[in-house]
Amino acid sequence: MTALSVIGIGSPHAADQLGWQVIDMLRQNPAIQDLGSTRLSLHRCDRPGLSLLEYLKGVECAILVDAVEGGTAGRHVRLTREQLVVDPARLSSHAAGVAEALALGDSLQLLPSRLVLHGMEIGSAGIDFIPAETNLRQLAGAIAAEVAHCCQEPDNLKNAPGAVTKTNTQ
Amino acid sequence: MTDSGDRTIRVPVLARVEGEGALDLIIRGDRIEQLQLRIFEPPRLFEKLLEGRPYTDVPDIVARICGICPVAYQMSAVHAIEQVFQLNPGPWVREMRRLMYCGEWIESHALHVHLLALPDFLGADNVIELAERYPDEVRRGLHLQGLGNRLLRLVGGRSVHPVSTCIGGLSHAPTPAEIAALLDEFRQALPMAEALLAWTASLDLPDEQQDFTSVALRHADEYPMNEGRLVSSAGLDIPIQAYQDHFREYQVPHSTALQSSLDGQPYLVGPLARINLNLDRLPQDLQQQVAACGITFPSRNMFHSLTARAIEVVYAMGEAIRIMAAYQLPDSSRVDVTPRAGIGFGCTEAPRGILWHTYELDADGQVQAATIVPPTSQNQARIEDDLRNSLTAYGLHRSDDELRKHGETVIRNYDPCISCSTHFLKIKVGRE
Repeated sequence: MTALSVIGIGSPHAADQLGWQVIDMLRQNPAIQDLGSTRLSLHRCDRPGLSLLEYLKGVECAILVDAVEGGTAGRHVRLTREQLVVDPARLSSHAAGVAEALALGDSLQLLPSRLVLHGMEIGSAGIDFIPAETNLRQLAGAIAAEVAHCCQEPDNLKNAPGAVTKTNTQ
Repeated sequence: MTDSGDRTIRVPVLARVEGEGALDLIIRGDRIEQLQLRIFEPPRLFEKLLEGRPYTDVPDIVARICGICPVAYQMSAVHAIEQVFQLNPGPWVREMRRLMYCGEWIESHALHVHLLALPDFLGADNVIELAERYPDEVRRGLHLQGLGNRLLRLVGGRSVHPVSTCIGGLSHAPTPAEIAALLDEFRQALPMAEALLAWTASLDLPDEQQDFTSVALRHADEYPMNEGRLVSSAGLDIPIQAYQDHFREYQVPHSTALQSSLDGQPYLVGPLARINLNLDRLPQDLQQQVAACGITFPSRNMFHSLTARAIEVVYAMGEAIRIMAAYQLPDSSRVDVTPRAGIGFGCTEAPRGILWHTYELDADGQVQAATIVPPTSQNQARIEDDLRNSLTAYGLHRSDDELRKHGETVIRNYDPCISCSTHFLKIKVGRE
């Protein structure tokens, strides 16, 4: 297991591809390629539900990438572990999303010590949202910067520069 | 509660079940006047959606019926269509399909036991609360579920809605190195599954004996997954083609899912029914573990479904190990297919019970008609019967909250997949 994982969460459908598109861009990034698979792993994760915890097992630093409902379409958001781990009122396996998986992972002490989510708000467009290429590249660039930053000093993952910090994913 | 003792209890949305349903209960005095398991998830019309499609589309379309048990839908479909084409894909494909089913049983059962059912029996509101009190047990459950998912990813291409299943075989074969790596992890995890079985059997579950008819597949010499005759605890023993001679689907006003009856009566499908009817088909060492666990099967206590699922997790782990240990890369992962016209039947054991399909195809293999009978539809009438018995035994004098919670526990114990069951819409059009 690598120390740092970037996990694009999504599905093959419309706006939900966003996390995968960013992973594809990162795979083409020479700086990311230079890190090699032993230091960094990149995942395209298909609607994992609670299986997200499998991808986080043994990882020291994890960066999640996902579309974020609401907000201003196209805006980049960065959420810290403290902002991500919430207490879901009800947990059903059909509705187990990132928040529920992280809440369970937190209670079982399965989460990486450093965890952050980079997302793009999709506004009110829902699944029909189509991210602009420039916004995707900006998001991929911010993640590449965070990867470089935490490779230099893992503790910096909590305070990486260059991102809007929001507190609400709903 | 009114002065006359009349009460109406509603559970508007059932939590910790797959899909959307509700329970309405009217109590008059000391008896239940009306009880309805109300399934209001919109009809999904998969059978109509299949009409006119080529046979090659069927496995991928039916897999979308459920994210928890897509393999079951694929297996019943490919067996039915291969019956029409008079096609036998051979022993390698047979074993790989069984291996996929092992993965699905492990992930589905581990998920239900730990995330959906156990909180009810251990006094927790949800798995997160459960995890705070039983962290090692929940971690073990997640590990087992993860192994099931990984097996599905390896053989099926991905764990949710796998893509490798096709008529005639699989679209790809895993490499021996991939199989060997996963085999090692399965061998290491088998004791975890055995510990899960012992643990569930040791829990203080409600002791309620009920009369019900168990229905499952039964195979001549193996625990049933993809093949077998339909048998019941009441003496039924028929080929799957004769299903509609004995079982009847019917609509009730309060549900978008059809209910089913066997010779006019409700019946049970699923892990407890399978164990009740196939205990002697488990390997000897597992039969000994079951005998030692303190629960006697066949059981008439519906809450023993929890242990039945754990038994099947151990079985599926062992069966997966057996298949993976003997794995060899085939020359081809599929056989050639020549479409034919006709009607075919498939019935396999989904995690929640028998899943019956029939397809009528034309000479090009295009679907003319499809019928899909999911296990949750078949269990609906049994769940309503169980609720009447169980709530009455529990005590109708209890508070609304207590009755609501007990009712939810009874329903969740069946692991109902409501999303799967809602596939029917009856439309009446008046014209002048």
